Amino acid sequence: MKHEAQEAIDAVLAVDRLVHEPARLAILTVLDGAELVEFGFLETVCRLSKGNLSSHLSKLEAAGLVSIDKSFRGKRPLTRVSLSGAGRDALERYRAQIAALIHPTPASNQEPS
Amino acid sequence: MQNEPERLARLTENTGRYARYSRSAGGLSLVIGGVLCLAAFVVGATVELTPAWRYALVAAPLLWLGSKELLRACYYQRAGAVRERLSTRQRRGRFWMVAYLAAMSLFIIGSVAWTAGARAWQWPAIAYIAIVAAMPLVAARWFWSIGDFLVGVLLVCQAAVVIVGLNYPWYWILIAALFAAIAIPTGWREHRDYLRLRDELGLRDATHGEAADA
Repeated sequence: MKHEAQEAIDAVLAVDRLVHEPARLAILTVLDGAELVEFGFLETVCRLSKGNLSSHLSKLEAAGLVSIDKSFRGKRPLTRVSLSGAGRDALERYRAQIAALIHPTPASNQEPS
Repeated sequence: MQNEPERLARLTENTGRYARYSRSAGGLSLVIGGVLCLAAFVVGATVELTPAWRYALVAAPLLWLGSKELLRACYYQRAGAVRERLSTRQRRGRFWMVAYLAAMSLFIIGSVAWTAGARAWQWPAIAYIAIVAAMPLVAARWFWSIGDFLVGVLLVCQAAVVIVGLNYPWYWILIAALFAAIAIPTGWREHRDYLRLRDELGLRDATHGEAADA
C-alpha cells in the first residue's frame, strides 16, 4: 500500500511544472489547435492580460516549447506564436501523465505481492 | 480535475474550428461566391453583353476574392488571426487540384498560341491568356476548399471567355447552379457554425483592435 502511495506521489511530482501551470497549459492547448496564432487571440481566449501573457510566452519560448515571430502590421506590433515540435511532445507527454493519474490502470491499483 | 482534460480537448478543438476560417472555411464568402457564380452565368448566357456587362463579369472573381479577404480579416478572424493547420491529406488534395489547374492552363495557353499564332499576343487574346495563366496562381494563394475551387474556377473561366467577346452557352447555367447549390448551403452551414463557435469562445465582443499585441 505504501509502495502504491509512493508511486502516485512520484507520478504527481513527475508532471512537467512548466506545462502544468494553468495559464501556460491554456496557451499550449490553444496553440495545439492551429499552425500559427496571433497574440490577440491568445489574449482573448485564455483571458490573460497582455503582460501576463507576454511573461508566460517568454518562459515557454525560453524552454523551446513555442516559437515567437515579432513583426509590424503598419505601425502596430504583431506577435505570432506557434507550438514547436518540442512543445507538442511536452504537451502530449503531459496529457498522458494526467490521463494516467486520473484513470490509473488496474495494474497500478493492485497491492504489491 | 476529472473535467479538465475534456475542457482542454474542447479548447484545442474550438481553436481548430476558428482556425478553419483562415483557410478552408469560407462562410459567407462561399455564399457570395455561389450567388455571384450563378448570376454571372445567367447574365453571360441571357443578356446581350455590352462593354459594361463584360467588365462587370470580368470583375466578378476580383469582387469575390475581395469579399473573401474582407470577411476573413474583418469578421471571421477579427479576434486575431489563427492559421489553420492542414492535414497531410488536405495538403495533398490541394496540391493536386492546383497542379491540375496549372496543367489545364498550360494546355489552353499552348492551344491558343498554336491556333491563333501572332494574334494570340494581341489584345484581347493577351488578356485571355493572362487570366488563364493567373488561374493556378490565384488558386494556390486563395483556394483552400472544394467550394473555393468550384466557384473560383468557374468565375475565372467566365472572366477569361467574356473578355474576348464570347460567352458560355445557356447550359452552363445548369453547371453554375449545381456548383452554387453545393457552395451556398456549405457556406451558410459554416457561417452558422461560426456564430456558435463565437459564443463558445467568448468572442462576441472581441474586435480586431484588441488583437493588437503588447
